[in-house]
Amino acid sequence: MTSPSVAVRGVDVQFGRTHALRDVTFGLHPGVTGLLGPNGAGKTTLLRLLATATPVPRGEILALGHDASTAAGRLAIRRRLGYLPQDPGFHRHFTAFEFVDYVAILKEHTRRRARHDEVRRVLDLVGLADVRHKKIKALSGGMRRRVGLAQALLGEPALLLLDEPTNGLDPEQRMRFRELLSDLGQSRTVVLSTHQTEDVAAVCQRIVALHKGTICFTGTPEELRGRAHGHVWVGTERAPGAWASWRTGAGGHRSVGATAPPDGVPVEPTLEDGYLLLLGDPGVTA
Amino acid sequence: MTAALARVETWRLLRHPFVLVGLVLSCWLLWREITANRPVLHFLDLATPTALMPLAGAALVAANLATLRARRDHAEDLYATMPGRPVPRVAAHLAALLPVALVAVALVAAGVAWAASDPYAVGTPSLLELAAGPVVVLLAGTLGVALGRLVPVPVAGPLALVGWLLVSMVVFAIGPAIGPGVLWFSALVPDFRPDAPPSGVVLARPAGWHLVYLLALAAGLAALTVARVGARRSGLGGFAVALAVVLAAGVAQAGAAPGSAAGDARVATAEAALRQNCQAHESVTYCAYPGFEVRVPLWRDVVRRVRDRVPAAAASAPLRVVQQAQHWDAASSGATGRLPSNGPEDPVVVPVSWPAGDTAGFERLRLGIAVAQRSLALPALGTAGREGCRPAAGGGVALWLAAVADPGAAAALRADLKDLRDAGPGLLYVNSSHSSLSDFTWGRAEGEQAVLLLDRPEAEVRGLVADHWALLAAPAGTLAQAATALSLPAPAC
Repeated sequence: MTSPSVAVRGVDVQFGRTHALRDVTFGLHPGVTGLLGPNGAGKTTLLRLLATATPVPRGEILALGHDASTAAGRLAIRRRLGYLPQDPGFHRHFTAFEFVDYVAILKEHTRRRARHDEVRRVLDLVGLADVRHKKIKALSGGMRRRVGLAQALLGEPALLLLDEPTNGLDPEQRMRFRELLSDLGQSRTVVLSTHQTEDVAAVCQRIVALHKGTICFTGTPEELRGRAHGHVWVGTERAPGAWASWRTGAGGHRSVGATAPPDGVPVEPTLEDGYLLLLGDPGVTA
Repeated sequence: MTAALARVETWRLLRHPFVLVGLVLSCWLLWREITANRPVLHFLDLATPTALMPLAGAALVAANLATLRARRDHAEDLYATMPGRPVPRVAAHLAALLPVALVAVALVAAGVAWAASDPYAVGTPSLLELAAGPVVVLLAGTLGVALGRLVPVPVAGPLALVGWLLVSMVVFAIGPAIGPGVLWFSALVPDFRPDAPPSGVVLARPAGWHLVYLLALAAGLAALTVARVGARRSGLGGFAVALAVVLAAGVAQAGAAPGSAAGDARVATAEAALRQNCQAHESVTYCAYPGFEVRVPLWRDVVRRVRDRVPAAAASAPLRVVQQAQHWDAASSGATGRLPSNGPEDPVVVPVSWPAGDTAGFERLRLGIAVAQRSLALPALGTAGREGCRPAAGGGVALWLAAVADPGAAAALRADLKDLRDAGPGLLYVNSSHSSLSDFTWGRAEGEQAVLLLDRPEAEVRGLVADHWALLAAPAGTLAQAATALSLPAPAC
C-alpha cells in the first residue's frame, strides 16, 4: 500500500483536565473518509489540528508529506488545503463573490483575472453562480454553507477537510453535495466530519470513528455495517437491553443490541445501526 | 498578496458609510471655511486640517472595524489555516489608508483651487500646512488599525476618537499656559486669531517639523502594529526609529513655534518687513499689504457709494483707507494690538480678511459708517456718549449713508437694530467679523432714525441731507435737531 497522504501518530490534546484527543493514530489515503462521532468526541479538534489552525501539542501529524509541527510544514500544508470549519465566520456585508475572492487572495491567488475565474468556478460548482453578487447576510443558511464549501474548494486542494458540511442543506442540496464530493474524492483526500451516517454511507470509502477522544473504529462503511450483523432485529416488542430501539413506521420495533427480542426477526443492518452499536457497546462489535 | 488585499480593503474602506459621511461633513466644513471670507490663502490653509477632522475620525473608526472584521465575524479560525499570514493583512489595512488620504488631498486641492479662483483671493497657501490635513487622516486611520491589533475590541476605535477630541480640547485650553510649544504636540494646531495675518510668514508656524512629527507618529504606530502581528524584529526596529523622529521633531517644532524665542523673532522680522502699497483714487488713498491691492476695488466701491451722497466739499476731502492687521500673541492666544500702518493717524481701517456672502454686508456697513463718520466730522468712534443715544446730530445720517445704496449693508443694519430692540436699551454694536478692529458703538436712536430714512425715497432724503448738512456736521448739533430737520420723530433719548 502507498504511504498515506495524512498520517496522524499518537496525537494527544488536553484542554485543562479534559482530554479532547487521546493517543490518536490513523492514516488517510486519497478518497473520501468519514469522520464519525457524537458531539464532544473530538472531531472538530482533530480537524483543526489537521487544518493547522492549532499547533499539535503532542504527537505528530504529517499531511501531504509535510510535518505540521514546523512553520514551513504548516505553510506547505496550507497551500494545498481546503478547510470548511463548522462556523466559517462569514463577513455578512460581503457578497458571496467578495468573500470567496477575499479567501482566494489569502490562499495566494494574487493574479486578479485568474483569481476571479477561479472564484466563479467554485461558486458555480456549489450552485451559487446566480447569487454570487448577493450579500451573504441575504443568503439562506444552506446557501451560506455552500459559500463556505466554495472557499474550501479554491485552488483544487489536495486535502479537503469539511466539518459538518451538510448542516442546513435541504435534501436536494445534500444530493448535489454528495455528487460533488464523490467527484472530488476521486483525486484527493477528503475528510468529512459529520453526524449524518447517510452522507457517510453514500460517499465515504473509509470511516474513522471517534468516541470520547479515542478512535474506536477505522475501516470501510461495509465493515462498520457488517459489525452489526446479527445485532439488529425487528419484532413486536423492544429487545431487552437493546442499545437503541424504536417503533418503525410499519408498526414493529427495530432494536439494535446484543440480545434478540423474543419474536425478533434479524434484518439487514444499516451503517447507522453499526454506528449506534459502536457507540452503545463497542465490545459487541470488537 | 498585500497588493491584492490592499485593493480589496481600499475599495471597502472608501465605500464605508462612516467614511462617506465623514467625507460629506469635511466637504461641508471646508466649503464653509472657503465661503466665509474672500480667501486669504495663507490663512485658509490652516483651516484645512480641522475641516478634514470628520474624515479623519471616520477613517479611524472604519479602519478599526475593518481590522477587527475577522475577529468580529469569528473568521480567525478559517484565516489561521490560510497561507497568507497576518502581516500582509495588516499591511493591506495600512495601505488602504493611503487612498483615503489621497481623497483628502484631492478634497483640499479642490477646495484651495476653488478658493484661488475667487478674483479677490490673495496669498499663497503653504503646501506643508495643506499636507497636514491628509496626514492627520492617515494618522487617524493608522491609529484605528493599530488599535484593532493592540486592543482588539470594537469599542476601542470610537473611544479613541472621543479621547483624541477630549485631549485636543484640553491641550488647546491649557497648552498656552504651560508653554508656547505645547499646542504643537497635538495633531491639530488650528490658529484662533480673529483676522488673517497679512502674510504667511507672520504666522511663523513650524509646519514642516509638525508634518514630520505627524508622519513619524503614523509610522511608529504602523511599525508597532506590524511587530504585534509577527514581524517582531523589523516592526520594533521601525518603531524605535519612528519614536526617535517623533521626539526630535516634537522638540524642534516646540522650539520654533510662535511664542518661543525663535518663533517670536521670526514674527517680528516678518512684521517689520510688511510695507503697505498705497494708491490714490481722486481724494482717497488706499493702502494695502503686499498682495492685497486686488481688494482695493471692494473698498472703493463702499467709499464711492457713501461719498456720492454727500455734498461735493465733503466728498472731496482727503481720506485714507488703510488695511491693518492685528498683532497676535501666541502665548496668550489673544490679539494685543494693531500692526503699525504708515501715514497719518485716524485712517479708515479695513481688516485683512474681507467677508464674503451674507456677512459681507456687515463689513461694508462698518466701512461705510467709518467713511460717513469722517465726512460728517463726527466724534471719533468709540468715544463715550449718552447711554443709548450719542449726542452727534449726524449719527443717524451716517448710518443711512452707509446703508442706503447697498442692500447688503441695509439688511445688516436692520438685523443689528432688530437685535438691539430685542435686547432692550443699550448700544448698537455694528457687527464686524473683526470685532477688535471695529469698536463702533451707536445708540438705538441713531439706528431707528437711519431705518426711518431708509424707508423713505432716497432722493427726498438726499435733498434734506444736502440742505441740512451744516447742522448734521456741526460738532454742537444734536440728534433731536437732526430729527426736526429731517422731518423725523424726536429721538427717545
